[in-house]
Amino acid sequence: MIKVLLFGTLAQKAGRRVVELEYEAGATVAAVVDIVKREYLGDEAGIYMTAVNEVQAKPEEIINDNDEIAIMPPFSGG
Amino acid sequence: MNNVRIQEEDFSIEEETKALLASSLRIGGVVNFLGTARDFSEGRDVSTIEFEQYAGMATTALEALRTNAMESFDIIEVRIVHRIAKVGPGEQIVLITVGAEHRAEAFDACRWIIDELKKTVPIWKRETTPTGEEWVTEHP
Repeated sequence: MIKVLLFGTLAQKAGRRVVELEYEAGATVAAVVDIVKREYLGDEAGIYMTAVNEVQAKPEEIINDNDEIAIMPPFSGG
Repeated sequence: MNNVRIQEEDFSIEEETKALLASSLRIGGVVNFLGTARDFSEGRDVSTIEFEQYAGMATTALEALRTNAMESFDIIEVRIVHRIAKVGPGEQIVLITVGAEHRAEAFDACRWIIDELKKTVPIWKRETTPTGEEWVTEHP
């Protein structure tokens, strides 16, 4: 399984903070984002950054089973 | 006290400044940036602001920010404290304290750090307004 974390506006849009997906060998961060957009967020999701296991990740990065993927909207701290 | 912290409780500017000064007797100038909660934003009243973080990344990102600042500017010490809490107008949110031999580098580094913090640290704020709660999606 893959655990996907959503924050801020993205969690609000999805109506949840955590999404669990079946792992598929060779899947990329982009593929996970596409599934989450299709099922929960829509095309205009407003994604700023993704991370795998707490490290910023590019869309083409290959993920592994049991990874934690974070999908984050623009930051607004400070 | 760690020189980079994310915490719920309020912080003391005086204590942070003292801790900074205790790090080196070569500091000749200290610049503090204090971010506080406003009661008005985007044309509407704001009664409270609540913060959310990606805890696994936020502290690491703040530490990286401090390291980058120390390497990029001719400064001696940096302390950063950010609250993750529900705060009301006038309450403290973030403090950046920079010590350098001279003021110019301290001012430049402090400005750079707060600008970078807004771009690189996974923290989000949600404002409570008369029409409901809204996530802030962009921050100048």
